[in-house]
Amino acid sequence: MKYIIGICDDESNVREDMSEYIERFFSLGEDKVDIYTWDKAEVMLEDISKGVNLDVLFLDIELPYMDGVAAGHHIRKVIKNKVVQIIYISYKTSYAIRLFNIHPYDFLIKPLTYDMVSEAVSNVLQISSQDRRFYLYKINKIPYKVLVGDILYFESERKHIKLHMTEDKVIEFVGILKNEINNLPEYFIMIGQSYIINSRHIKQFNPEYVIMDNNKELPVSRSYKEEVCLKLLNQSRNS
Amino acid sequence: MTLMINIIWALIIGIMRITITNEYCSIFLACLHRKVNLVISYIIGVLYVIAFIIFDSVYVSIVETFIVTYIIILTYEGELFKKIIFSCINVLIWVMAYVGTLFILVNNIISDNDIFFIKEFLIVFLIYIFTIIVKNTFGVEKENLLTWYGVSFFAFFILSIAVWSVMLKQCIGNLGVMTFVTVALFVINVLGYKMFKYISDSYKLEYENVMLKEQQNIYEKQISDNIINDRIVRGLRHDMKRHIRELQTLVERENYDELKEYIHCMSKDATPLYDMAGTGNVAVDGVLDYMYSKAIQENIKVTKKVAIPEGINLKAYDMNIILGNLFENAIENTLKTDEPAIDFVMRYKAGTLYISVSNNCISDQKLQNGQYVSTKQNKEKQHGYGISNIKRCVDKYNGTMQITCKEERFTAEILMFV
Repeated sequence: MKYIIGICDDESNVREDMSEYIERFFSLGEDKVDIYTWDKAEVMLEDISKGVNLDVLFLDIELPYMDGVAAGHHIRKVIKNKVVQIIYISYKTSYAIRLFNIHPYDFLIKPLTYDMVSEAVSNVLQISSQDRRFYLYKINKIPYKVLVGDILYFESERKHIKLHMTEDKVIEFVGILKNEINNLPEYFIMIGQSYIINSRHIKQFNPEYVIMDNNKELPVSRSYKEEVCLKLLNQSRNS
Repeated sequence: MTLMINIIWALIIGIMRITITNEYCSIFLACLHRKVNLVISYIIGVLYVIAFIIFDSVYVSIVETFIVTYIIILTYEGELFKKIIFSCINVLIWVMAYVGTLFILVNNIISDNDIFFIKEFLIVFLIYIFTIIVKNTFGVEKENLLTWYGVSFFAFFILSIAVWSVMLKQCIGNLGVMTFVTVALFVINVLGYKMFKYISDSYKLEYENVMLKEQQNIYEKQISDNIINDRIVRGLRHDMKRHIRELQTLVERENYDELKEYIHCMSKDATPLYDMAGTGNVAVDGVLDYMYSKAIQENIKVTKKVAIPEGINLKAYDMNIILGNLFENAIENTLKTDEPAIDFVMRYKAGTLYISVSNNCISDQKLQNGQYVSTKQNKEKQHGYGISNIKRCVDKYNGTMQITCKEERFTAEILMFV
């Protein structure tokens, strides 16, 4: 498997060190890596728009001209790339709330070490490999498959299951929702009898309802609340 | 003479009923105007006493209870619908008290006329007990009645009823003695409850005092840290030109070993600046810096990973209780090991705040029903209550808490909605 990792930092030594760390990390495994480096956010955004399909992006917060926060917003809102896992790097330890709206995977504090970078990359790759698994379903006895990472949530409607995917696609097939939870990775959470959500696509979590990435508001059943909280806690531990 | 005694009795019962009704109303709603409430209570009290003397019927009493509660509750803030519902609940309490009284009196074969007022008194007595239960179950200032004090209070009440029942059998006909015993037992119970409230309020106050003192220490530490850091920054800034000149000279001379050493010394000077939590969130930074320094003073290895927005709405008081107690427990616990170490994680994601404090611990760390059995119980500062206080705070944020102890690793994790 080949991964594409980007580094956007105005400090050349940070770019060099990180490239070396990432290469060293991949040299220990079977996966391959392509590393892109940029010193300006503008150039990076142009490349992403042109089709550089990053899996992970290490993005400096304090960049000249366009900073990391604006660049992150541009990636998510303008380019509409919700797949790339952004890891912010900075000397700062305090972060503005709008930084969190970009849904960054992690924050690393400079000066960076091999352990910090390799741990972050290893965790992201684990998520990515989980998301690249397939979910199988049948329509009129013909089997189909979708990437697990592309599923936002499952909705039950009488004897049918509606699969809400990223990019507003909805797939409907016959099935019982309760049985499906067993075929899904543990980061899928049943929030009531009618919904199973992908916790990695939650935009905002409230005790009574969740807002998904497509801005749909789904209610959390009272009887499921405790279990949902515990599952979320376990998710937070592993993320 | 009998009429006079009856009026006095009716007055006492009337005052008690009105006072208890007011206490009942204040459980759910806030009083709008104290004075209006007082005047209306007096008027309704007088009418109640008159009705009480004239009528002697269960049905009248039910209607009477509803009207009295409804008129008094009108002086409280709230929707009309709620007021009607609460009045109905009070009628239900009256019915329960009435049935309870009949149950207590069922074995005492005496004419109703003999003990009419004593019976009424007993009804009021039971209403008072039920009101207290409602207050402590649904009220704003809930008390846990299942504590030692709470259980003692109920033991008081049950014993009183038992004593009263025995006395009633022994002293039939002696209305004076019965009246005295009834009133005395009622007073004992009221005082018992007041004492329970007083003790529980004192505990709360004492705990708050401890927390405030801790808060004060945290602020003092923060101020002194700021002063030290400020001094370091000034020093660095003041010496910057000299440092740059020195670095330039070392580069020109290609004396890289000395250059490395020089930079190392400079970064060492600036180290205290990076030792701080520095999340920018005032509610969190103070307590974290205070606890880090406490742990470091004890030679505990602390690793931290904190990524939270500076602007999230967290209360300093709650954070002191949660983080303060988690760290206190972890420090106390890990110091028993040969390699004391604490790992701290605090992360914000999509409206959730995840906190994890884990430490090396000795293998016999006890867990009971998922709760850490504190070794500090009843020692100074009520630290033994730490976990339950954290739990209470976490509940405020609709959160959840999990404690695990595996392979000499003790971990407390919290998920809250912010």
